[in-house]
Amino acid sequence: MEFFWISIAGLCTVAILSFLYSDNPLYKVAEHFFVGIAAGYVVCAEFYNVFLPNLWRPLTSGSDYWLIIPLILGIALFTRFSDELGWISRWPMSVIIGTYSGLAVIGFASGDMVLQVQASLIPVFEPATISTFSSEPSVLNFLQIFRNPLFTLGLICVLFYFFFSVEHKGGLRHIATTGTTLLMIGFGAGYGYTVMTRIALLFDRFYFLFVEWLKIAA
Amino acid sequence: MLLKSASFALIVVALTACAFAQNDSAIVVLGQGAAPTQVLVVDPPNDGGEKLDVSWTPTAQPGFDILKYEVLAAEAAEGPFKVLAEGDHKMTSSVITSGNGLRLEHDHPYYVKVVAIDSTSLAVPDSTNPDSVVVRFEKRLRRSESAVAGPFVPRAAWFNMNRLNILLLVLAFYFAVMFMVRRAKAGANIQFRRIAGIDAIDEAIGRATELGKPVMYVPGTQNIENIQTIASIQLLTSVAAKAANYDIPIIVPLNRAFMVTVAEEAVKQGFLNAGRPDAYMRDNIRYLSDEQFAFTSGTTGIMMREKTAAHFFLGAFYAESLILSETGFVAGAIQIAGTANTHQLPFFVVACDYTLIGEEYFATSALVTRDVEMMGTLKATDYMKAFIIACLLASLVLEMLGVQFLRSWFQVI
Repeated sequence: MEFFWISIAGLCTVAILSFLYSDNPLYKVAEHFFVGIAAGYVVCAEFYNVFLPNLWRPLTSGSDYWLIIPLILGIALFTRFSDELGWISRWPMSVIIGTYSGLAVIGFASGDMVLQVQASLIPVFEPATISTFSSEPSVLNFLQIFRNPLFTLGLICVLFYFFFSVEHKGGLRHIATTGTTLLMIGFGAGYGYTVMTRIALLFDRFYFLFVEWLKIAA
Repeated sequence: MLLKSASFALIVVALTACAFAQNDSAIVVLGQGAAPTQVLVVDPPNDGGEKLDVSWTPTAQPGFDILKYEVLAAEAAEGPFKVLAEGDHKMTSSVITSGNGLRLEHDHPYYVKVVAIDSTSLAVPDSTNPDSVVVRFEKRLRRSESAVAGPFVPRAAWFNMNRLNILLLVLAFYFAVMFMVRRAKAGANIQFRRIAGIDAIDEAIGRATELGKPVMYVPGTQNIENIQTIASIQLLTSVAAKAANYDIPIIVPLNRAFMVTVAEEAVKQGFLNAGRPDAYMRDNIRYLSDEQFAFTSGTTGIMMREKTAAHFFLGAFYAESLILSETGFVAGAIQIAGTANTHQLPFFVVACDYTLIGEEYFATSALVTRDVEMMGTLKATDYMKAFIIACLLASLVLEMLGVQFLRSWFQVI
């Protein structure tokens, strides 16, 4: 029985990989299975893991009557199906968007801005790097001295690229171009790193196909 | 002896008086053997009442080789106690939070004790020969527990004063936004540089019109609470209006069920703005799946089968970004992408015709919609960036001179 399920998984993998050749009936079957099963699974998972424990059980046991508010808002969303009452569904949407936007402000302000700014406030030269170079002169130690000024100037160039109030013309164009170049270097490194991890995932699939399923490789 | 007892009694009375005098209750308990002799529990300020600050004094008696300390807490004096923190022999204090099956909540009483664990030799008789007088010594771990201290009731603070800097920055930004929005509404000329992405949007829709094929718009794979999704939905209205103007269908595959309502509303509004409400097709707003890769395979299927000529990937994307943009490239569509998820930008950069990088995406959303509030916000973010650049330049010199005012001001605890 186990081999049967492994074979199903193997056939589905081959069907999905067949998309590399072209869009074909095999891929269509696998795709529709995948989308359908995933949609059905999510409905069940949300019902048993979210709706029942977080709303229905506390409400019916009488432990938290405040939950009547999200219940009403949730039901109001279903008015979407009615042409006459569809406007009611805008109320829960407003509550959700407003609440999450408000919550996100603090998270972004602390995590995405203040913390990053704080980490970028560095001295132009680290005295430790100068003393390291004087005690152990080498190219790497020499370059380490310029790490901070390069980092800060690079950061300013990148920030300037995202400055929308000023046209990037004349001398300012060079600052913005430097910022874009630095961004592309960063993207290149990120791309290479992620492709490597994707190749590892591909190997994992091949291992499943040839070793665990077909058993034609050790 | 009398003097010693009197000293201890004095400490107990003094600390108990402190406990009653302030919210952060404190108490001293006495232990035996290797057990810590004083356990002091304080409710730390600026928290949500989910922490207790426990400190203790290691035993002053000689001969104990402490290996580690464990801090235990329980909801009742008799237990069951759960280990919430542990550390080596040097540890004399610890902040305990929820864990190990015990949830620390504000306004609930908790009892605390500290256990010192040391190693001792124990004489064990020879079990194989009951008549033998020979014993052997075995190394055993010994747990010396302090007396149970408590009850301690952690209180939730209304304000976290450690994060006053964030409040000040948010308020400064808020007032900057309000000021710029007011200026924009008053008719002030708020200028921005041209963003190439705006032209690219028009070009993509124009290309789809020439080919007579639909446009596909993917507003990311996150729910509406994500700020990128909110920006994408605003842009969707504009793109839908442009598509309606040229009389081409716009397909919106969705990864979240809740997004269907929002996307329907946005596209309908776009068609209404273009004066073509009759051309709006509800069936083109398609919920596929909440599962990331099921959604991805469904979307790539639409690309191949419906031959969409222009793709917009605008929003929060994750691992699906490369699969979507590569498939779109293979299908020969013109593609515009934009996301603030920096890890996904490289994939969009290599596989799409135009990529809106990070904040460019939000700026495009503001400039395309010409929304006064969004343009005011964009202007305010420029001022904020200028402030950050000024801070960076100032810190280069200040930090060198040993002045760490800026650095400490931006610290988040």
